[in-house]
Amino acid sequence: MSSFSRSAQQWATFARSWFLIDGRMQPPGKIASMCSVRLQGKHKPIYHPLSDIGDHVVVMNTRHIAFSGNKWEQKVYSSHTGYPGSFKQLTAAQMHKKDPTVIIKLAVYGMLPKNLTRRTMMQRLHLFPDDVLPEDILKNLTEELPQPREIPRKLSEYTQEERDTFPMLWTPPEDYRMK
Amino acid sequence: MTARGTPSRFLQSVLHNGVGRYVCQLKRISLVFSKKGQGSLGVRDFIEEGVVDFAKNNPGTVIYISPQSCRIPKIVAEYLNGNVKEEMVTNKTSQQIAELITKMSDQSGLDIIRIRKPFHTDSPSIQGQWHPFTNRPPSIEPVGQQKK
Amino acid sequence: MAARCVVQSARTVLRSVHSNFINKGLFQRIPQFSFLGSVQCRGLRHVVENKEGKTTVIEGVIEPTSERPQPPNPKAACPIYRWNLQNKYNYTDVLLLSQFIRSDGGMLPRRITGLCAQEHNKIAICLQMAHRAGLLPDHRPRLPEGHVPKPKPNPPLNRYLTRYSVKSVKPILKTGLKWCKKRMSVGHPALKNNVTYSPKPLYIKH
Repeated sequence: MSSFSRSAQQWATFARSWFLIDGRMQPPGKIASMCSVRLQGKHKPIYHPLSDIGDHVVVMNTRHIAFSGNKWEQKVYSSHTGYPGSFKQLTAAQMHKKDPTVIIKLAVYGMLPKNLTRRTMMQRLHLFPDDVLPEDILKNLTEELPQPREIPRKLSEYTQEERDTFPMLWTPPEDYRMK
Repeated sequence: MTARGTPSRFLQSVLHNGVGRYVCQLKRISLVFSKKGQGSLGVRDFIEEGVVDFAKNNPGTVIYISPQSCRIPKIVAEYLNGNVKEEMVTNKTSQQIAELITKMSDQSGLDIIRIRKPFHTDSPSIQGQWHPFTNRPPSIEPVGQQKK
Repeated sequence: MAARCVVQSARTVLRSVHSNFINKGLFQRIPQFSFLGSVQCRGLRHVVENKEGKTTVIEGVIEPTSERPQPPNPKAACPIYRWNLQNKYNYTDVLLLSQFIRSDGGMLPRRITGLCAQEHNKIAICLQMAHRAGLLPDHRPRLPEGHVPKPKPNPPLNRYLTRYSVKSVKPILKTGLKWCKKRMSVGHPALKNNVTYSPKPLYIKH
């Protein structure tokens, strides 16, 4: 630690780091819980609720998130602007079609603490529908977080060798004509 | 006023006082009282009974006794760091004044204000402060798309 | 998970039997099926022509299946029990599930596969989920030549553990009161005892 002085150490302590999360085939709630911890700075040992030490989180591929169950059709996002007749209810699929980042945004917004710092933390969340990130954000990134859900492999992604070594669970009778 | 608005400091001691040898931080104490006043009766009692003992027990402290024509008797304490503290001792018994003076001689002279944290260390950490890259495997590879 | 189990058991069998394993190259695949992601590799016949003088015998010979490891529990009737795979497979084990479907995606009947009723039901559920998650190849019949399908208005959405078919579900506009909420079901209760990947108790109603 002799390489840099005391004051430089403190700058390093309070430096904001930038995390990257790949949202491909991930449930939005799990991504949002990872994001909200990082945005609040709760992953740091120096965490204190009064000190503003949240990090930046970049989520890419939000267009390719995956919902479990039938939530694309069943989950409903309601909004009301306050004017009469402005109560709107949109399913998750409709919301996703309108704006591919809004589902993650709402999920993170709901998971952050409900106080004045919430908008500030949301400003440190950067959502990108595809994996194309602007250059200035790419420069800042320090760490890529592991994906919370393990993506299952498709049948077409298994190699022929793996398919052959997998044992046959049953053998058809000789006279059965397989389609 | 909220606690944030009040002046505050961190827990500290004066120059590691007491680590090797204890140095009394109270250097000078002056008892200002009136010879005739009713309010300074206790001070006069204290000067008769306790001052000599106190001076013998604390050779590092200079004691001035200044009779003046004043209504309010007071004790003015000056500390090594330059702080001056005044205490009114109107209508106090000699017992109370003795306690007050021993309390003042025990103090370090630092401002009595809100202390932000009840703990302090002069050597925070040997391995250095935490920063986002402690306990993380060093990697030079850029994150994100550049690796593709 | 299931794949790992099976391969492990196969390895142990190999070690115990220590038979000289005939490493045949897998039988030649019939080229017109190669557009499908997976080809049924059992019970296929290939045409053999025998010319003996003037008589030509054209025969469909069932291709011999390649040598595979033997199951650990060969007495059981159900193939799942034969391989000790009860509650060890999930919708992600595509290699296992794809053995129980025809080339058009339908499930093979129980009298052929020999599955017991419970396992047949579970595998059917798993197959549905795998289909909806897009893990199995597209089994729809091929479009006629030169036919360009209409572009779809909505891009496909990624999903997993989908219990009901996509078109049958309606949005839950009113969730109801706290003690009688309408929940969104994830997964299927029949698969409750199948592998769970987290130490937390399974939570089906979201």
